[in-house]
Amino acid sequence: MDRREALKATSLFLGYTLTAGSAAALIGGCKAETSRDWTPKTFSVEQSDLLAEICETIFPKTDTPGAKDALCHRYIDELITNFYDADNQKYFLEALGVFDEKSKAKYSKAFVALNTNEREEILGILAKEAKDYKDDTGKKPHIFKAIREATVSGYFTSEVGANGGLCAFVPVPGPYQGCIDYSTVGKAYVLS
Amino acid sequence: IQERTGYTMKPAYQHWWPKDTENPYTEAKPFDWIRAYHVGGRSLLWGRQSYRLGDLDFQANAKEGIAVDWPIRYADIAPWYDYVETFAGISGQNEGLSQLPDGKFLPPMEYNCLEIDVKKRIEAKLGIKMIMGRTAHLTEPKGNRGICQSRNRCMRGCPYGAYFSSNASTLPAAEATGNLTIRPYSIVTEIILDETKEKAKGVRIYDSETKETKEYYAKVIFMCASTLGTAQIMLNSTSDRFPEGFGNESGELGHNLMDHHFRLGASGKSDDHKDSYFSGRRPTGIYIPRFQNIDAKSKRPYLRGFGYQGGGGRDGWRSYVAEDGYGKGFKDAVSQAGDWTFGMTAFGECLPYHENKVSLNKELRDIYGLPTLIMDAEWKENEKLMRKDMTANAAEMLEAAGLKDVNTFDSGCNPGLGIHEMGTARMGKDPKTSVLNKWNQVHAAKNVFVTDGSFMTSAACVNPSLTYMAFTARAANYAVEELKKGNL
Repeated sequence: MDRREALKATSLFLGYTLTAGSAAALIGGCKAETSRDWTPKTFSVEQSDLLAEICETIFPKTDTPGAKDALCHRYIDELITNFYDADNQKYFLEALGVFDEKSKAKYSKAFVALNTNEREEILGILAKEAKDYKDDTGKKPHIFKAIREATVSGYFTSEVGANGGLCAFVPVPGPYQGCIDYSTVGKAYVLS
Repeated sequence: IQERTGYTMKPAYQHWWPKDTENPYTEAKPFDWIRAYHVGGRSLLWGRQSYRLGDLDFQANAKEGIAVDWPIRYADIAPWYDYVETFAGISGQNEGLSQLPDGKFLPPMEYNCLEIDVKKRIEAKLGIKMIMGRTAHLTEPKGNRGICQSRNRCMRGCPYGAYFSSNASTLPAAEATGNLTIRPYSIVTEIILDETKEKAKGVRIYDSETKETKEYYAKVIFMCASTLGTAQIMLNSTSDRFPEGFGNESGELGHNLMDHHFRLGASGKSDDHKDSYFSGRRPTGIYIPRFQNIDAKSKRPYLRGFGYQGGGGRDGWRSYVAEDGYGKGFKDAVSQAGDWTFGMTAFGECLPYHENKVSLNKELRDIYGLPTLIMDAEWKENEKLMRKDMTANAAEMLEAAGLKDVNTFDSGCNPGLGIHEMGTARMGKDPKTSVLNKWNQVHAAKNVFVTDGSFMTSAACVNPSLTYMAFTARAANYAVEELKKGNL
């Protein structure tokens, strides 16, 4: 069978330490629902709104679409619903509370009420925590790591993110060329 | 089971694989049986790497006193490799290697910048040859088939017919003769023996749609049900003449099961070529042909050997998924190509062991009511010993190539995961020790030809599909000649 797919799947596990859920979601083709009347499956509406703001802080809208445009929060709802077991779902929902906890402690406001600089400040605190965090079970990743992984994956596996210009989306490249100037592309490819 | 590969169950192609619950089998020892039962079968899903076996392979069993000798040599099959390479369209380059014969190739795919460096360095420092992977993709148009567009959507089935599949290549050719009838949803349950004539009369099928049983009669029958499918049908085709399975007078039917062992190798990265990139998702990589046990100098403490498949590339957003960061700066960083990386994975030969086998399980039936298989195969000392070299040599090569952060990996694999099942109805010179003769005919029923991987007398270390194709073409040509002579 297609060994290239096998190599990709293995390198995903070997090269980088992805949390089990996001690796499975990437390989399993997890996809956000794009319908207008979408409602979250696992999150409450409030949690989903919070998540959307966290994702947008990780991947903000610039001259290319942001995480909200790419519906990364919906991707995460889908991921948690389909690729986490009941135990880990419970863990994720509880751990999500840490964003409001930190922002209330520092700014006496909920995370969604903060401005961009303040939000980045909170993410900075959590990023540092995530770096020092030890996940012995391999099943309870730090919440910020889990969300950041899923934001990047969700972004590039969505149509808006893949085709939004951040990276080069080339569905039909034509015959393979081994050595070309990087400047002719100027950015990384979306598809591998 | 069908997801044991780690890459089969993606929404784009998960419909190809059968439901494990409807098609059960029993693992006396762990065995990953990855199957496809649609029209075109695994030809839509294969890895497409296409290499010839050479006399190093065809003589190995005889020289080493392993199992039985192949009944043919390279000269017998070489013209048929020419034939199928020309028909299927294989891109690659002739290299003049004794252990990996040249062929009739379309222009090869290009190397990328890092691969050119690695190739130069390992050839200069270690004398180990690296070649461009030979793959069944068109680099020039062929009839109605177009050239490969490097999309990496192969497993969905190629709309250009750019890679060889039955659907893109042989079935249209068969249709053009006006003599083709395809009968899908037909599960062959057994071969019907004509007891008076030492021949098969036809096959019995079960129609999975109508649930009817039907019989079809023919002068000649070709078994190409994939190795284990063929073994299953033949073991289930019992009669007074063949109580142990069709043509199974030797007791070898179902035995000598082989696969390639793999999922180990090394990877590294390079700081060079930051201003270079590539274009397209190439459907092949580099290949490092076997360099062990090919002459007195390359002797190793195990028999046979292995080759590497691999390639260079450049990290993209996937490498950032696990990176720290957030905000605009992070997003900008993710937009740029990362380091050049290079990885390779080894594929090793497995010896034919009589005790590695499949047998029929009448207690466990599939949804069609057919007896299922019991898999009983394992890697043995020779394979285990080889695996040490497979990682160590990979690391040596990548270090010689000047790569950084060289890491080895060995993810282990059960037999079957290579999806190169072979050997369950082997060819041989003696009907007492083999199931098929040198024309792929069942010794005791000459109008039955078996031309899938079951006929393999040994496994070699290269991807086997091209060899099945060459033997099939040779056997089909022989069958026609024999029919004309009135011998069948």
